[in-house]
Parts: sequence; structure tokens; C-alpha cells
Amino acid sequence: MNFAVPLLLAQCVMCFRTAAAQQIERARILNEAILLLGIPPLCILAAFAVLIYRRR
Amino acid sequence: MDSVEQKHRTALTGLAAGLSAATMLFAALASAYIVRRGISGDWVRLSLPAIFYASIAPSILVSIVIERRLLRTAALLAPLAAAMHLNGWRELANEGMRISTNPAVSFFFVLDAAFIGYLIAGIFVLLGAARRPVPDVSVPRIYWLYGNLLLIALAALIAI
Repeated sequence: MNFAVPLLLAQCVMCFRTAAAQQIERARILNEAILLLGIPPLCILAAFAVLIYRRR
Repeated sequence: MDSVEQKHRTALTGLAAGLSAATMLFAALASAYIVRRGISGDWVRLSLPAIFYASIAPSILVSIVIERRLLRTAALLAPLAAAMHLNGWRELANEGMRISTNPAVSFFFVLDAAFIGYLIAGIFVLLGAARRPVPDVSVPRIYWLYGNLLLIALAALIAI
């Protein structure tokens, strides 16, 4: 099924098209920025999970 | 559990929430900074005045003073770091670098203003901890260590 691919990538159509239209170098920068934005909330979530587990 | 320990735990939880919020703010700005720098043709590299790098010294000094449990002295030293940043702003303005000059300068001012906000909040953290009957060093210690790391990371982000 064709529409399964954008669904898997979890992006809206507009973001998906914009990201897909970038050159490799720009795509790399976009990926770096996404990682930078993604790592802190994951760490915060992990830290709070540990905190809740230890204080249960 | 006695009341002092309970208050200490509450303070640490509040600190964790505050640092999480600060982390997200700076991560969001840094992420936007990287994208804007990488995906545009009009980016002009900004070379920071030396005073910004020098401001790391009083910031670390605050941490050292906190370790010696001199919270009020630390609260007196902390504005020095903020003043150095504002002095740097003036140096940039004298070179004709204003917030609207180019995207690099705009981003720098927003990032640095956020950091000065963090510094000013840090003064209240110090004064709040010093006011307690038994001065509590752990909260300001973590706050200022985090601030130092933040400042070094910001300097690296802009210098690289």
C-alpha cells in the first residue's frame, strides 16, 4: 500500500514533501536538528520514569 | 519523614521540573539555530567578543563559592556574569551588530537573552537557599553546574 510509507514516517504530508525535497547536505542538517530536539524530552521522560519508579 | 527532608525533596523535584523546562527551551532554540544556519544562503558567521568567553570564569567561580557554602557571596558574584553578557551586547552594538543585522546576530541575541534570564533566576535560587534556617547547598549547586554546562554549550554552538 502506497500511503503506508508516510504513515510510518509519522509526518504530515507537507513536512514529508518539504523534507524529501531537500538535498543530502540539507537533509543531514535537518536530521541533526531533529535529533537535538528529540533527545532532551526522551532524557527528561526517562529521568522522570526513574524518579517515579524509585519513589513508588 | 521529617519536614526538612520533605522540603528538600520538594525543592529537588521543582529543580528537576525547572531544569527540564530550561533544557527544552535551549534545545528548541539550538535546533532552530542549526536549521537556519544550514538551510539558508544568507548566514553570516558571527565572531563573538572575547567577553562572552570570559564570562565563563565568573560563572564557574559562583559554583566554587557555592561549594564553600557562601551562598550570599555567590549571589553577589552572579550579577557579574550577567553584566559581562550585557557589556558584550554593547560591544556588538558598537560594531553595528544589531538584532536585525543578520540571522546569526538575531539568534545570538535571543539565545543570550534566554541565558541571562537563566542567570537572573539563578540569583533568586541562591538567595532563596541562603534564607533557609539550614542553608541548603544542593539545589543551587546543581542549578549553577547546569548553568555552566549550558554556557559552555552555547559558546561552542556559536563558535563552531
